Amino acid sequence: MNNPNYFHHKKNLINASAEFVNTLHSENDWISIIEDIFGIIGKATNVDRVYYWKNHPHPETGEPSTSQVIEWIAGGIKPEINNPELQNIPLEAFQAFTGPLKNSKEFDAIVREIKDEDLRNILAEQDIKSILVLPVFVEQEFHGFIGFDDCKSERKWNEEEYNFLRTTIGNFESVVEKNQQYKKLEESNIQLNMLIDNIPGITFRCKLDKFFTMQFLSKEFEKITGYRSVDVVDNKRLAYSDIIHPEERTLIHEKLTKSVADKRQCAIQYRIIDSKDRTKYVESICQGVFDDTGKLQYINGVIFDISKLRMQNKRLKDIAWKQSHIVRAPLSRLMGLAHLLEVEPSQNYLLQEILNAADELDDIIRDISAKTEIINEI
Amino acid sequence: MIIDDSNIVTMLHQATLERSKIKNTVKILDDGDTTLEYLESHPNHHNTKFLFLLDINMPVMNAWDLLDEIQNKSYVDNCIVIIVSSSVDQSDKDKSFTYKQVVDYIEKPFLPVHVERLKEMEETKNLLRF
Repeated sequence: MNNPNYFHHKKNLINASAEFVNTLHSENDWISIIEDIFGIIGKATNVDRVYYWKNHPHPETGEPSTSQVIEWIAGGIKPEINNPELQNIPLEAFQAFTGPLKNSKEFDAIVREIKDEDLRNILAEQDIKSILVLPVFVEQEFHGFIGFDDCKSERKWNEEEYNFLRTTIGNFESVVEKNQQYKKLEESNIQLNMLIDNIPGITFRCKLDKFFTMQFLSKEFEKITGYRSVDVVDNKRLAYSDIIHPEERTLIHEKLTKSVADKRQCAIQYRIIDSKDRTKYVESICQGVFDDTGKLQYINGVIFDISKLRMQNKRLKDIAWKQSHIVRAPLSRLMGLAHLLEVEPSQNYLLQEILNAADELDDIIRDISAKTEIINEI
Repeated sequence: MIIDDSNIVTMLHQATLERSKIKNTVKILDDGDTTLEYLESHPNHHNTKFLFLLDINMPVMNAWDLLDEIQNKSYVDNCIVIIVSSSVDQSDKDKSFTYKQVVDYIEKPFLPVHVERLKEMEETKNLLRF
C-alpha cells in the first residue's frame, strides 16, 4: 500500500476515468475517439490491448454474432483489428467465453488455465497471457463487450482496477444508450419531417394571440398562400392574421379560444387572401398543447386548401338544385295528372305502371338531393 | 289563392281541391307580382283571410320576393301560406319556415292526402269550407 507506484497507478485510474467521461459525453461522433480513450485506459491499467466487440445478427445466417469494432494496442503488440477471423463470430461458438458475459458476469482468465482448447489456442495465438472481458449491456440487452489483454504477464486484477473498469463500462453503456436514443430520435425526426412534407396541407404551430403568431409552417404554406414561411414565422414581415380574410379574423380567434378553453379539437373553415390577392377557402384542424400544469403552450394543426372541393360542392349543389326544381317540376305535373286519371278505372294497370315509373324517378331525384345535403357549405 | 305560373299545375290543384270537396272560392294567380297587385287592390284585405297555395319558382316575382314584399303590409297577418313546390331541396324547406306566414310545405303533386292534412292543421282548418 505504501508503494509510491500504487498511488501513481490509482491517480492514473482516476484521471483516466474523468477524461473518459468528459470525452464521451461531449462528443456526438464518439466512435471516432473511442480508440484514443481506450489508449488512456490501456495506459492507466497497463495492458497491451483494449478492444470493443459489438453484437449483431450474422449477415448471412442471422444468428446472434459478434465482431471486433475498435482496438487499441500498446507499442510492439500485433494489431488484430483487421483479422477477418475476428468478424461475425457466432456467440454460441465460444460458450465458455460468451456464457458468463450474457449473464452480466465478467470473463477473467489466465490463458494457460482455460479448459476450452479452441478458445485457449485462439487467445494464445494472439500472445495473450491473461484476459479480462466485461459485458456491455444497453437497454437491458447484451450489446457487446470490452476486453483487456495482457501479453506480458499472467495478471490478477485487483478490486480497485475492477471498480475502475466497471465504472468505465457503466459510462460506456450510458453513452451508447444515449447515442442509440439520439439515433432513434433522429430517425423519427426524419420520418416526421417526411410525413409533414407529404401532407397535402400546411402543418403549423402557432400562439393563441391576435396575430396567430406562427412558430412553424411546413413547405406547403408557400404553395397555398404564395408567401414565404420565413416571412410569416414570428411575424417577421407579415402575420398569419394578415392573410386571413378581414371579415373572419375575429370569429376564428373566438372559436379557437373557446376550443382551447374546452381542450377540444377545433375545425374551422375560413377564407384567406393569397399573395396574388385571390380568395381561397381553407379548413384548419388544430388543437392546443398544454404543459403539466394545464397551461397552453402552443397550438398544433393542419390547414387544407378546400377551394377546389368547395367549387365542386357548389357545382354538385347547383346540379341538385336543378334536379329538384327543374327536373322535378314536369315530373310532379306528370304525377299529378296520373293521380287525377286514377279516378277513371279504365286501363287502370297502365296508369299504375306510369305512376310506378314516376315514383321511381321521383325517388332517384330525392336521393340525389338528400346526398348533396350532407355537403357542408361555408 | 293558387299562385303558380303553370296552367297545368293550377288545374291540378283545383282538381285536387274539388275532389276533396273544398267549397272555398279559388283565385288563380300566375306569379308574385300579380298576387301582390291582387292583395293591394282587394277592397277588404284587412278583414279577409288569404290562404296561399304558393309555388316557389315563378317568373318576375318568386315566392321569396312576394313573402319579403308582404312583410311590411298592414294585412300581413291575414296571409296564411302553404308552399307547394316541386323542390325536395331541404334548403328550400328551411328557407320557407323562416317566414312567419308559412305554415306548411307540400311537395308537388298536390294531392287529396295533403288537403286532409290541411283540414286537420290548427292554422288552416278554420279557413277551409267542406
